[in-house]
Amino acid sequence: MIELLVLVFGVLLLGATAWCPPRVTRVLGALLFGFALGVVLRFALGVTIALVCALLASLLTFRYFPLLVLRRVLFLVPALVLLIYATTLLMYRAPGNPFANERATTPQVEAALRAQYGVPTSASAFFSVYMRRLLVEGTLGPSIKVQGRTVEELIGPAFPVSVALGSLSLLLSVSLGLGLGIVAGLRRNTAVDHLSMLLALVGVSLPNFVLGSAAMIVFSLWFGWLPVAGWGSLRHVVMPAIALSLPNAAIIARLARSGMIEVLQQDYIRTARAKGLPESWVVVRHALRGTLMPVVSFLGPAAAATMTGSFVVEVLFAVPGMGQWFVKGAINRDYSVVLGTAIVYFGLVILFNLIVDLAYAWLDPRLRSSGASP
Amino acid sequence: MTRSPFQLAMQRLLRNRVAIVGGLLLALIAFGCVLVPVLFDLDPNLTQPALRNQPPSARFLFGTDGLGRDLVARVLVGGRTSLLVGLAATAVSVLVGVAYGSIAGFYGGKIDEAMMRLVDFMYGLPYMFLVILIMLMFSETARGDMLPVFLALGLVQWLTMARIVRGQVLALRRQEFVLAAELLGVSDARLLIRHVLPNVLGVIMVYATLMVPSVIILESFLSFLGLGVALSWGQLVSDGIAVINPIRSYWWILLWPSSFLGVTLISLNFLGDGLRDALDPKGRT
Amino acid sequence: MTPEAKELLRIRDLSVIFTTRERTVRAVDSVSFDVRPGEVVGLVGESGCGKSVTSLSILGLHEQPAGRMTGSIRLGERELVGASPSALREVRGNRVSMIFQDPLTSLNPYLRVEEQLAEVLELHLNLRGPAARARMLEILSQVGIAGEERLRAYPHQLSGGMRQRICIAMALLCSPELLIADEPTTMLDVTIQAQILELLRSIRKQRNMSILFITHDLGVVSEICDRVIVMYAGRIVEQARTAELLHSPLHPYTEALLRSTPRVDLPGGGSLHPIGGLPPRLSAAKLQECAFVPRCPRAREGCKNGEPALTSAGGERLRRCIVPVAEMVAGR
Repeated sequence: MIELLVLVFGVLLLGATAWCPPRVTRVLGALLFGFALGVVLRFALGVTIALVCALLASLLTFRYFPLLVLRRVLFLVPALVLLIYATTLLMYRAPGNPFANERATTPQVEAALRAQYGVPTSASAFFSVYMRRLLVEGTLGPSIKVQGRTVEELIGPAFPVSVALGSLSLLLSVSLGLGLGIVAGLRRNTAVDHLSMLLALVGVSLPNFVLGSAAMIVFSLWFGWLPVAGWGSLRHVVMPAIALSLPNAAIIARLARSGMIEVLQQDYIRTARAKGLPESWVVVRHALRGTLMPVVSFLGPAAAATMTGSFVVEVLFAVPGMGQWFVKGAINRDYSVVLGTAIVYFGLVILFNLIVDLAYAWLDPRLRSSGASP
Repeated sequence: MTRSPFQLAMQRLLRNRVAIVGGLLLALIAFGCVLVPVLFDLDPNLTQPALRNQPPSARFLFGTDGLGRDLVARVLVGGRTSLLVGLAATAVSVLVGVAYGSIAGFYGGKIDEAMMRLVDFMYGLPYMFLVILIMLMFSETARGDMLPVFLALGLVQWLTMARIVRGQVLALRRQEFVLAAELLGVSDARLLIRHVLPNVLGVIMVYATLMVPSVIILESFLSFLGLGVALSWGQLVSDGIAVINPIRSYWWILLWPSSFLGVTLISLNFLGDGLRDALDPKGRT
Repeated sequence: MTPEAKELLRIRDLSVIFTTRERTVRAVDSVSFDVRPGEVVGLVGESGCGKSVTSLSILGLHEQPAGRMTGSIRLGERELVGASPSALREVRGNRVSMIFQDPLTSLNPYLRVEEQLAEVLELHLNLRGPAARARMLEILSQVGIAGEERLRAYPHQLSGGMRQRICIAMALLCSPELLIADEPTTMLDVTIQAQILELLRSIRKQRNMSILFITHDLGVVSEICDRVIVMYAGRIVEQARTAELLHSPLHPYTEALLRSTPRVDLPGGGSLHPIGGLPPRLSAAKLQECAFVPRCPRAREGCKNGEPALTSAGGERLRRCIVPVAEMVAGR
């Protein structure tokens, strides 16, 4: 299985980036970042502007990004390509193909269809066709099942919906979690603490669709305050966003609490008090930074979890996001749609991870100069 | 009269009432799901259209669903799948994670650095996506075949276990009793397996217990989306939600699987937290 | 420093009791002493003797859950035991400052030096902006740090000695009357230690500031302290002027401490004379005998008849021992 070997080789290569010397990492990382940015911007701004932005971005990141972040870029951009390859392999391994269900599928018709849509019989061939289409022509390809529409036309309207839902819910997770966790940490072993942690435990123990359906029943059917499902107004956003945010909020609450407790035992907190600072200054100016660190570390996995959870929440509340295209595409074996949604999802999560890395480096000055990982 | 660390930990655990309650509930549910359907000869698939959508009664303790199937049977048998997947997938996670983490921690240096770099970078990536894809693609052929599910779900979680085990092994590696054994000429494999790992078992147990609920939730996502391979709680909740409407509320179809799911997960978390407090009350790990 | 000078800090019968689920510990037992303006008082003893707890008690800085303090700590006219949190905060960093053992962990790693200095000025002296900056630079130069770049640095970018200087500068910003120094040189290497001690000496002279210097190192004591208080098991066992104490100790514990100091001036370094045994566990119960009895080379029958009282040995000297002075001086 040559393709599997290629995959394994790719993974090993990714691992090898650990040994890349700093100078090379900086150059390659900046180049890859600019390149990826260019590919993305092309959809919105056209080739020339995208190219200019890509060059600009490369230069800026080369100069200003911490080494730590560029290392991650060096890993993640090829990883993204590898993930796309893996997805392609998976799709081809599955039984059935896009043309099997068509009515008149003689071998000649199928061959013609394949040529028309650019879907060869082997996974690797499809992968190269797809990548060439993406990089040279700047398109995600035609949808095989929805006649005459490209993938970007299909998922275009769904993209902002999913992004809105996801980001709102992450924002909620962080605010709720931090709020609860910090208060619990400051009032350790009191009723507030125990209650908060109990809430957190429940939040982490119930799947989001259970909490979501409970909310649906209570707030829509009994009280009629919020619409049951759908999308379009602020009131539609409330329940899905909250349901999606609760498990992450619970975990963040626990992290914030233990972080706060640990920070408060540090010597520099004693120094702050010895200087006569009021307790509010001690907490906000000194304790907060250290408490945020474990929370920020968690944000990467939190984004991935939000993305995972969004499939279920979108189905439950009938939100017209990208999840439906992914599921439909997979069932119909519409390879281009599946890859398109996969790229967008992966890209979003990776982008978020990079932002988190930047935030982490900004928060902890000790990381800025060295290339060490936290 | 000194007690072994294990005994001391057991003592602390037994004093933790919340954890004990969790453990008992868990045992109760497991017992119910595994044995009760056998003892009472319950059939989750027996459709009796004449008896559909009946509220709970003496005959049908949990009521019946839209096809007249006994919900007690469905919830308990469905529980088997959920629990089994939880345990099996966690086992996969533990095996892969412990193997990876102990090798990284044991050898240290460049090997550790490279292995952990890989883990760090892979940490934020969305595997569930691939898992869903796998399930979507294989759902027709995979009915009844649970192995891919175990493997796929297990591989989502191993990173955490690898990190934790690596940290523990790294610390223990430098301890004197290990170095002493090494000087006596004990081979690497034996050192790791007989000397280091037994001391890490406690931590592994704690995090394994805390991983099971995550896996159960992931499986419930899959079956909620219609991708499950066998009847499980997620699917039952989905059934329950499908019949929500403002006019007639068939609350029992949703309530029972949700409650069982919720109670199981909360109990697992209580137990896991209790184990963690018992093993390491100062929170050093 | 005439004997009639009004004392700056007056501690009377200070006791600190910590209660945990397992046991109760009396970390400090009826400690009384004074610190006069411009005086450097050393507080000496092994780890666990209560010297740190005593020093933390002055500003009420015990870790939560705090110990129960009884007795009196008077700063000038103001009583600090039982004072309200806001009253204490007004004193901290302002009239009484404190520096600690590890300058790396004592400074906030996430903030620049100037930010950590600025908040003291903003809080106590209402100084901001250029005025604050000027004061910071002035104090920094007094502690031997030149250059504005240091202000923008983070603690991890500075050396150990510089970090301690920063901590000292931070303590001096509001011109305190008393500086409490809890083992400030223990974590530094010997050459830096000497520099810091010299710095403290010169600051004391310039400002006529008092210093309460906590340490376990008698060598440091000889360099900087005017007067020394020796503590053991939470109580004071001897008090004297430095020279007197070092040349003619009047308590077996002090003798043993002096003897256990490694000597570079003897050939081969001399042999080491550690004090055998361990310090006692400090329970809340009253002692039935002198605390040092198990380890005391001069112990005798009378020592087990209850704890000796702190008695005068002429001038300001105090000792808690029943062995006659003549006997102690005889063997030397």
